[in-house]
Amino acid sequence: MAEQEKILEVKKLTTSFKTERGKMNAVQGVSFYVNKGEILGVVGESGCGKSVTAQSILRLYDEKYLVEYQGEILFDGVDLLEIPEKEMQNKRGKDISMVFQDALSALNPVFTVGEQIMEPLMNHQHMKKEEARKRAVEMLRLVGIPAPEKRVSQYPHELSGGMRQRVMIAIALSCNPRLLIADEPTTALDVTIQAQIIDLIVELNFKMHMGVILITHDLAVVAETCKRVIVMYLGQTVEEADVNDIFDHPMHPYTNGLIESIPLLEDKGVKRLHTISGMVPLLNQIPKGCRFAPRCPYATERCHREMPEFVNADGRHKVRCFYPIGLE
Amino acid sequence: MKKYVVKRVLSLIPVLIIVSVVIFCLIHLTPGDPARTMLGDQASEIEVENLRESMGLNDPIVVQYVHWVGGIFHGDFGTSIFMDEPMYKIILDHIGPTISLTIYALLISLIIAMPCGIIAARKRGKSQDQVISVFSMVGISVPSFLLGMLLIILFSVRMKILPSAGYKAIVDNGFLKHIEYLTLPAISLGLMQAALITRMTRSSVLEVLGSDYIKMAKAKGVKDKVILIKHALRNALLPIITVIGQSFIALLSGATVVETVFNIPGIGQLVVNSVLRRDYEVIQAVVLVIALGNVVVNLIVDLLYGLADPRISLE
Amino acid sequence: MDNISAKTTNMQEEENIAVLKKQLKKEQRQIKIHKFTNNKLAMIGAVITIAMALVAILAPVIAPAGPYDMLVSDRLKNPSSVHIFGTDTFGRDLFSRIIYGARVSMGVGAAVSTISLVVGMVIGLYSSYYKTLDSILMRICDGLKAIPAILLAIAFMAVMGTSVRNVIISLAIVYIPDIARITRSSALMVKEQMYIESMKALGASANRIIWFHIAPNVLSPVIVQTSFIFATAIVQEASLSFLGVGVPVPAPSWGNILYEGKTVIYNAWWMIVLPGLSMAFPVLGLNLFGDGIREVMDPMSN
Repeated sequence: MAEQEKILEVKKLTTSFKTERGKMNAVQGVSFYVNKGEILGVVGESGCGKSVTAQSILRLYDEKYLVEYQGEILFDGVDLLEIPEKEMQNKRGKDISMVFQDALSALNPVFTVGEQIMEPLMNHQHMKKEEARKRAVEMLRLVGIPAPEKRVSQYPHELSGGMRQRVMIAIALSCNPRLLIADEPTTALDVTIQAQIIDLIVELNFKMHMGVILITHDLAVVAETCKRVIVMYLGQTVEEADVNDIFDHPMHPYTNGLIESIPLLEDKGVKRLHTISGMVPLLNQIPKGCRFAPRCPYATERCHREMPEFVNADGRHKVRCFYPIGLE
Repeated sequence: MKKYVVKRVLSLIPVLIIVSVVIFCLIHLTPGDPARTMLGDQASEIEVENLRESMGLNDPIVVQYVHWVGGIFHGDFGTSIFMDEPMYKIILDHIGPTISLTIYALLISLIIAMPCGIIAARKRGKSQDQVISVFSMVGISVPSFLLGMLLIILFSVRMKILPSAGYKAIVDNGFLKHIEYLTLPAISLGLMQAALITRMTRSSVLEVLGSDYIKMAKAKGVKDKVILIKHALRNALLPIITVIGQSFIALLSGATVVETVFNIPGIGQLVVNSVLRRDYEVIQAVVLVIALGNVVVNLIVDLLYGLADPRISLE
Repeated sequence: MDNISAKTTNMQEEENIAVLKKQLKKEQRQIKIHKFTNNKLAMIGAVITIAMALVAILAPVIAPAGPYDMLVSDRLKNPSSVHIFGTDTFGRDLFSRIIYGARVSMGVGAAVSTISLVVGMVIGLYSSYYKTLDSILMRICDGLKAIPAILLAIAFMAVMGTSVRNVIISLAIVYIPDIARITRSSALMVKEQMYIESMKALGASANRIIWFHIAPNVLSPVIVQTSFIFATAIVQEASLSFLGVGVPVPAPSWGNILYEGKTVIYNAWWMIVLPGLSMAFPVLGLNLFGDGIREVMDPMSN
């Protein structure tokens, strides 16, 4: 396989928060990369560190006294963790954009949709007000909002949930970013609207040739849209592979559990859906050995004692497990 | 908009009826004979009976109430037994100093509270925040009349730079003299509200700063300063509008005590003097006017809020 | 067979969930207690309040002189080793008067907050339960709240005449609506969460539901409010007495001492500064305490 050009490469990222009970690592030693024009899926349960990873890439947490980053985040070869805040500001919304989960709370209620799209245009591309407004209307049209001339001067609460999500995408894409991070962009939406938004992201990814990190807990979405997937559990990556490989031969017991818990249409008759037993432990109760061991049906004594490395299993597949499924 | 205002004004009618009943009951249903209390123990039975008759106290209670409310609609708020002037004139004569003092105190509290609240929120948990929160805690715990006297001791008795008592109207003495005499009273009145508004501003700004749209603004590459001024304050100020409305009323009634400390001839002094003279109808009228003012201020605050927050439609 | 095993696992799961929930609740309670004891300011507040209450109770033991003992030769003396807080215009020992004043002022505060707590809770609980009663009582509360507290209290005092009892009654009337409001709104929330309708259907009596199921769950916000009312009542009593419409004069209340102090403000600073600080002290304590509990109760403040 020909080596493609990487737009983003995250190396051993650790993000820790200082809390009253000491330092907590929300993300620990996560490494992955995104190629130009590629959609990378990031999958995991809530609380597994997906969002923290996403927000660490943009350095959205207040660094001064809350959070500590370690590792490297190379964007176009530049380590984002090393550049000063001012330079980072220039990258946010211009080179790297983000779409949040809940558009209703992520859009500022007291500004019109237009004003919110125009803001990065005027900031980053130094457009005049009139020009930015024209571009805002164009962007709304691009993301498929009908009557954009009218919508541009409406407030977020006047739009439907799906339209608000489209507005967010319009804001994120207004400056033609090279990397889009979509953090659960469809979770808050109805199923039919979800499909539309995902289609829109795929379409725009194709049109604008930007890298996309699609964060979701919905494996079905990943199966439809992404080429490559990483699976996260408790702040670590546990498996990384091409979509087909992951679905056909999941190697990590956790991934396996996730896939088996998807209901399939062709299943007829009564069959209890598979569930992964137990709950995601809190960050301050992280197990000593393999983090998944307490919930893993195959765990041995070694798993409880030692932490497995994230290793290449068969050339195309990376996994963090002593006993990967199908590789005995 | 018009429809909303009309609806909102109509909704005030039940509140006003209740208020008027409460005030009426206050004077007329409390144990004891108001006429007797007003005249004192030395008065003769006949004098008391005459006063009862002239105050209409011998009529059935409902008739008395209807009579009183009817009078209000004709601009008749009752008659003072000590002052030979129509009630509205008595109140108008006293309300100027009180309003002046209230506005001055409100300005002082806002000038102190807004920046302090914002700084405390921005520097949450740091020394600035702690200093501000200690000051606001102390501010809330020192009542205005006490603060007033402490300020007199410091600035009038010791340093002799500001007058300790009295009032100079703008018309007679000019703006500067007016302000000079009102400064100590306004500070003592305003400081507690400043403390309250500081705390409100802090929590309001904190809530907004923790919201998703602030993160979104940051993700768009907006500068921190712009985020604070443009994205955060606009939202954080919305609940503060309500607080300012409430503060205005709190200051207006708080003026009662401060006016006594500084000997300012305002509504507060009118009330206190009327209480000491047992001039019930004046008390009744003043309480009614202040309650009315309270209701009107709340209405204005609601309308302003509606104008400032696009999520509330005034249709 | 399959069915049965499915059923048992279901039951087990439910049991597990119940156990987990219990654990969670216990943990939350522990966290709350932990947070409270960790909240230094709140602890300081509690200590100050208790200390002032002790001063009030032990006044005859602590005070070197009676509150009415006059020594005409010792009028308006500076604080000294004989009179550590100085003397007032009648030659009474100011320290003793302030100590005895704690009895009056703290007593008024305690009485007002207790009466408002009890009556306000009864009103709030029953109006959350009966709709008609609710609309009547809440309208009356609206009416009372439309009149600023101090004015309402002054008006009450004007018609009832000055006495400690009347100060307590008028301040209680002023603050009952506050407690009633808070009780009512939290009771309504509890009612929604606790499936009160189904309890009704199961035949639980209204009184039982109100006092055993709703009341315990509204206590925390009510207690916070009560501690603020305690603080405010101390201030309001002092304000009323300062205006001459509170506790009648010879009695040693902090407001009365300050009122006297005002007449000699040019020559006797101690008559204002010392009773003033004595009053601000417990008020600060109660405010810190109330704030502390509120922070512990409020999930947002973490």
